Amino acid sequence: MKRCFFIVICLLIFSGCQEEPRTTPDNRGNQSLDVDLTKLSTQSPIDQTYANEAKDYLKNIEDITAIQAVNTNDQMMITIEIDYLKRFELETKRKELVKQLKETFPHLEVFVSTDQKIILELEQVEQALQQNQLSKTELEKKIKELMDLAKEET
Amino acid sequence: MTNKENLSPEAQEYQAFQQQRETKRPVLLNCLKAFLVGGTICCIGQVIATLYIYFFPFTERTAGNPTSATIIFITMILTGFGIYDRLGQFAGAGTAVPVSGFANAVISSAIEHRTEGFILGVGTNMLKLAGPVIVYGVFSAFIIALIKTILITWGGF
Amino acid sequence: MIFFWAFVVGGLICVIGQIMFDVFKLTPAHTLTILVIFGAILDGFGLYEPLIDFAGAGATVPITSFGNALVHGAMAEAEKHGLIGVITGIFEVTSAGISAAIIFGVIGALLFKPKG
Repeated sequence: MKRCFFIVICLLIFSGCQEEPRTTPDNRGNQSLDVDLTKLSTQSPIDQTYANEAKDYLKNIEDITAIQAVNTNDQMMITIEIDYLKRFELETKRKELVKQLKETFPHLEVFVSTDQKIILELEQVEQALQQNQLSKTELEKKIKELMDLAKEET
Repeated sequence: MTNKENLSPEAQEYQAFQQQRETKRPVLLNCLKAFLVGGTICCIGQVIATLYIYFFPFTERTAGNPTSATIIFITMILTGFGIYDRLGQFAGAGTAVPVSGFANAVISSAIEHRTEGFILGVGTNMLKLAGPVIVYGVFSAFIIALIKTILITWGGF
Repeated sequence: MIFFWAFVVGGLICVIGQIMFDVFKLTPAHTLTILVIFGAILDGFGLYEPLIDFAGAGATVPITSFGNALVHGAMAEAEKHGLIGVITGIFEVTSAGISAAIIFGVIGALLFKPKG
């Protein structure tokens, strides 16, 4: 019994050790984090320029480590991941970003999520878009589905 | 704590004797055991939640419900075979505080009082420990939500 | 990372429970009731949700999350329907824990035999 616990503790301590996020110095010699994002083609069924703009805007914000964004003609779904230790302020940061993005894109219904499931699903949508596997209606349906999923309480 | 002046000399003597003979609890060791077992149960809960998020249409927020249900199902099996109680003797609060402890109390009462019949035995005694938890949980949530709602509507917070 | 913090935060909440057992000599019923009320108070101050964001199951598995879920349900309904929502909304978000405990309690009583 006691040996089991010892092993369990050791495993958990090792799982807490994780590689530091990669840093690259920019021209002024400041360290900036490599934010994980992929720009989408503007040749997709629906022009993804807004999504790419949103990504450019967000990647300069401190603590954000990954961004996914997809837009349709009237909605934009964005997911972000932030530095783990800053997760206490996750909700306040998310609300701030929604406000800022709504001002930048007033003609779109902007939704920002930090939920792991939505991140996974949106990554899959981005990949499908890059391989041109989604039609316009399919994309709109998928984004609407994701927005409904993110609003579920139970 | 009884007032010492109200007790007769023999009762005072007995109280001193009792405090001397009372088994000293090794608080630090108990806390360590509770930390390890409680932490492990929560970790297992996280694994279950992550599985639900990856393989089913649950988000981080909605995965809490099936995770609780799964943990309680596992607790039923462990309680039925007496394993959970043995773990409880070792870990104290480590097994009582997570939701599995709540479920263990309900399920073990249900099993124990089976001989008294389903209505009078199982039904009446099942919520012995769960009763105060639910009653005062609901009541305190009511008070807190009431205060918060009043503050928001009148104070504009 | 989340597994590590789930372990630590969950363990710490259990340590608080253990201190209530050993130092304050409270019964399990008292301890669990106080912890649920504590969870409800923390959510009243808006502190429990950030803890869930940080520690995941380390904050949702202990019984304190039950108090948090009750307040959440009450507040969500109160925002929609005003003061009466405080009463009608309490069990909106949480039901899995109690339902599952009762259901598996009855099933357990049907399947297992009492010992001794």
